[in-house]
Amino acid sequence: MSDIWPLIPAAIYLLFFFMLVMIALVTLSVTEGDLFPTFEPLQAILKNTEFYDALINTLIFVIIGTPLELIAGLFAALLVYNSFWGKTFIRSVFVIPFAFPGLVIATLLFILFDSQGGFANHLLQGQYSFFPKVIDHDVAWRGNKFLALSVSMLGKVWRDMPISMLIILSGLNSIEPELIDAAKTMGAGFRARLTKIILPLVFPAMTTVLLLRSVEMWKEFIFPYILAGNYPLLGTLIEKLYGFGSEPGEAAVVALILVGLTVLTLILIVEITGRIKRELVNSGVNS
Amino acid sequence: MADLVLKNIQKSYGNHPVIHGLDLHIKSGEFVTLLGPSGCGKTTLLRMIAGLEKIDSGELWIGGKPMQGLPAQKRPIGMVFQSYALFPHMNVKNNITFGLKIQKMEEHAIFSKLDWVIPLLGLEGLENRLPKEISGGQRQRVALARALVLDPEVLLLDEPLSNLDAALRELAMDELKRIHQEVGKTIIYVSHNQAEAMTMSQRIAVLNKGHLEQYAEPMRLYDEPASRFTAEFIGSPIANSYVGKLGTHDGLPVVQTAVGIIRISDRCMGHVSSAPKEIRVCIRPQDIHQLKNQVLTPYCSVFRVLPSLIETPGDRCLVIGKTNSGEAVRFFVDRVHTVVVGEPLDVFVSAEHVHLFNSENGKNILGEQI
Repeated sequence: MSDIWPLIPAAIYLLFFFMLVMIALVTLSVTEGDLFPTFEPLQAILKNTEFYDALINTLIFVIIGTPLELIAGLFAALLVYNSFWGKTFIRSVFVIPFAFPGLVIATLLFILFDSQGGFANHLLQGQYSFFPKVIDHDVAWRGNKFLALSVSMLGKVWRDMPISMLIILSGLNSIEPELIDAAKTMGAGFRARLTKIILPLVFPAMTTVLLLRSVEMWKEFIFPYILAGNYPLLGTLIEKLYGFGSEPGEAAVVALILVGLTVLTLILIVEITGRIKRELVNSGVNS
Repeated sequence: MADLVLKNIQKSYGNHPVIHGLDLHIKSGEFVTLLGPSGCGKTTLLRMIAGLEKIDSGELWIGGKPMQGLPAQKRPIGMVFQSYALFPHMNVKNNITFGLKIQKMEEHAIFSKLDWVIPLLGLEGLENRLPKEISGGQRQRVALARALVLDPEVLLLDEPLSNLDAALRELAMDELKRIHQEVGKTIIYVSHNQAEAMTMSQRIAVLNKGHLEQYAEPMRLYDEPASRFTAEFIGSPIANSYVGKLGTHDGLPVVQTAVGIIRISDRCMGHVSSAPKEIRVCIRPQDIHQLKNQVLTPYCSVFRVLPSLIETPGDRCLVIGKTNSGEAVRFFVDRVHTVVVGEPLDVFVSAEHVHLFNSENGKNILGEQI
């Protein structure tokens, strides 16, 4: 019985910050004005085309953004992992975006990608000597769904990539140097060492990145809110319904769907990565 | 022929030299140990042979081919690391076949290699286990199997037995000797354990602070140490060591020490006049015997010892005592002999077992070749 006491703080934390919030959310999702319980908010959401748009936009964000962040983090970590002159400087440069709040980075991108003028347009119009002219007229970065979501996704990936990089870097640093040396003495060149030894050994860290970043991508708010206001994601739709639309019940339904989809994604990632891991152990000569 | 030749090999880390112009010739099929204390440069030397460390200057030849500038993956070597360095995400079979798959060997050839090496190293039934699921001894054998299947010209072993317990280490030493006899590969073995080196090697290269102290057969190292370092490093317990002066007594060569006048080999006669004033005398505890009823030759020297400590490790007793002058003397007696602490006894040593070294450079004054 005495073993339970150390768990009490965690239990209190879960009760207040998860259980009570979830109960309040579920209650809100089946409340419409004075009506309780009711499925009216759910029915309204299922009829709302904006919800489906937001769902697809968020799905694209997750499907493209999560691996993009993993790949960016992996390449940055591999670069920093190898010894070279200026390694510390490069690592600091990579980590800088994370030192600023997301809102600041999003606002910065808002200014850079301004639809009238703006650095990006000036650059592509050849106004800087170091870059060739690509376009004649200003591009409306926020007036096009593809561009608006792309810029917000790139902003998100750029700003949060240091987390992926640091997680993968810690995985890389935990690889015993003798394993790499052993692979060398067995004839493995750089590519074979990377694909057969380094990546499989850093796979647990990559799985962690996928899990953490997929959650982040599902619930992303600030970048699409600032940079793609006309093209909602589930995160921004919740705010829109709750704030401007004064539909807290519908906002709660979308929030619950978001939670469900996040959990489903996590289960899927755990399942897929588990299979890959088993495959890695058993791959080779079949006898 | 896979002779391995090192010519004037030098290596520094920053301003700190770790290998000083080392020369070594290892014959094809030979089992050679690089022996020395921690930090003497033996692992660095092995890693330079493997191509894992850059050689600052000098030449390295394997099988008549120069190896400088050749990366590790292109050298005809196999290596077993101290930690075994088994790939934790691969089972035993995949660990063993990793190098073969890198070479793009055909599957049937890989199977034949597995069929050869698995019984050779007693790994039957472990093929599908992960490294974490097998014992230390089994890991060591997997690491060896992994290197052997590559059919390297030279097999490099970096203290592969140091993680095993004493009993397992003895078994592994026998195994290594058997495998060497069966496969006939050139083996370079790194160890700080002189018992391992003496048991397994055909020749031993004794290293000290990046210098080659002596390169010879184990018995020669033991009987004719070329330097004081070798005399003290080879053999256990450590050799008795005294300061002395060369001279003659009744026309015979002797060395005068605090222990007494010790008769030395006639071969030293020529050095008596030319030898430095002060020399270092080393006598192994195994070469000092208790005087009972033996008939002593003129080459024997006798001195009295007062035992202060007696250790009984097993078949015989190690006696630690002091002479009248207070010099410590370590020697062995049979277990059946009664030696009592505090009761003086006479011991003797034969001239051929008295090793003499230059006090300044530590070299054997008889100039034994290294």
